[in-house]
Amino acid sequence: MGETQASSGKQAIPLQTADPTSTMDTLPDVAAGKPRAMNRCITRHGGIIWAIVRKYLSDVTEAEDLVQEIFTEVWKKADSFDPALASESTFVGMIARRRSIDHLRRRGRQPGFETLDAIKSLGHDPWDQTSVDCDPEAVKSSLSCLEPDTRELFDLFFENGFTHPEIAEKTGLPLGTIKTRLRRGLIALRGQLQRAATPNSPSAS
Amino acid sequence: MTRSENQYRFEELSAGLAMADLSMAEERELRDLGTELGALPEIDFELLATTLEIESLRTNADPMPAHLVARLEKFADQLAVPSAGNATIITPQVSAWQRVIRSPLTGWAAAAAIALTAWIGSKSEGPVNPPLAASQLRSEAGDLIERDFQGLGKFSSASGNVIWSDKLQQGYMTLSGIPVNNPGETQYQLWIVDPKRDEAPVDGGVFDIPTDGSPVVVPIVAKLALSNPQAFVITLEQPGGVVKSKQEQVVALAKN
Repeated sequence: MGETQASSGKQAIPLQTADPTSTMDTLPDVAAGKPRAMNRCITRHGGIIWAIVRKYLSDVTEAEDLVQEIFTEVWKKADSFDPALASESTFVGMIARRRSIDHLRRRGRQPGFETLDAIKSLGHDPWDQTSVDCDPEAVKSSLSCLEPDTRELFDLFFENGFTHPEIAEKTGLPLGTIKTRLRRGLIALRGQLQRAATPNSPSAS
Repeated sequence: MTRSENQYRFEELSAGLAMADLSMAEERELRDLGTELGALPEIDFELLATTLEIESLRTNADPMPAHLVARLEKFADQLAVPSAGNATIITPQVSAWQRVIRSPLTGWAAAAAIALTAWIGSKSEGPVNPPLAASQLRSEAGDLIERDFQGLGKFSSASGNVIWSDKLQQGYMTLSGIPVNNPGETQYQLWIVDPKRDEAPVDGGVFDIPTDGSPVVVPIVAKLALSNPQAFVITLEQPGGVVKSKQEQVVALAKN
């Protein structure tokens, strides 16, 4: 799916507005049906959702429609947000990212993610498996654990928004190697964060 | 491969799933390995990928266009019509026979998806607040069908309405005056008559009425895509519902 990403722009523009309330979580108010809560949510997260969608979709009209769909989903799922598990930005970002990827998959006639209806009956809480603290600073500092060549691929993929074929062209590496290194890098990153979260771990320091 | 090799490969594919770069063959491999290992793809990888993506985009993206901001603001205003009043919100269930039929198909695939959709959707199957969602449906769906329910026979005190959108495949019933049922003995079952799909009515799931006569809001959980439904029928059936209703106890009917 990385192959279908649209290249992102390079302008340095803040994604959150100057709204003084923008650092406060908005989803609890959205879930409670408070007036203007959804408007505040849009103000706070509109920029990042737009950025995520544009990374995956090059067609502007399609992207605009998808952003509205994403906010509908955010509105529907607001009561699932738990600030103890991840930040509001991450929660909203996950929804935006999933919807964008799903959109591309549907367009490509590939099987999409399972519907939520289909998984409801299993009664499994995936957060039982969550073992990392995705604090952005912790994640960024853990990137240093990666091998230099993998780190470079991470920069190209995440920082610069290049697709797998674009990375292959730039680095001369085969697509399969790029996939494998990115995946193994993600595994290594998780391992590093897990060790960092365990104070007595020998490699945590 | 040894179990630990399989485990590592499973992790690798789980990371690929989070990065959305799995091929069809790899998706199958992930599913098979998950079954073999009794494991689910971990949400950690998706969290990490999302965090990295957000952090990179904070300094590398264009702002949202002003006209889209205005459109979303208008959209948000439309959502702000809340209040279920005194209505109780009822969560309908898939009929027992459907659960039996579906279970082999959902199995691992559904379980795997949990790890990646999970937090986003684990708490509620439908919208958080059906009255709100119904309000949204009214404002958004250009193809909204709205019909009144009429109680029949000994259920003549039943009333309410149903709204449905083919485009969004979403709908809600608001019902009043329906007697409380004992779920161990009987359950209410919704049927949707959609001649374009099938001659037989589509099963819309079963639900209970917990408080005698009080208004309830029931999201519709049709498991098949509907197109221009002609009627909505509520019957009283055995616990878990039935595959085909004999319509011995028809509670209420809403039709064109």
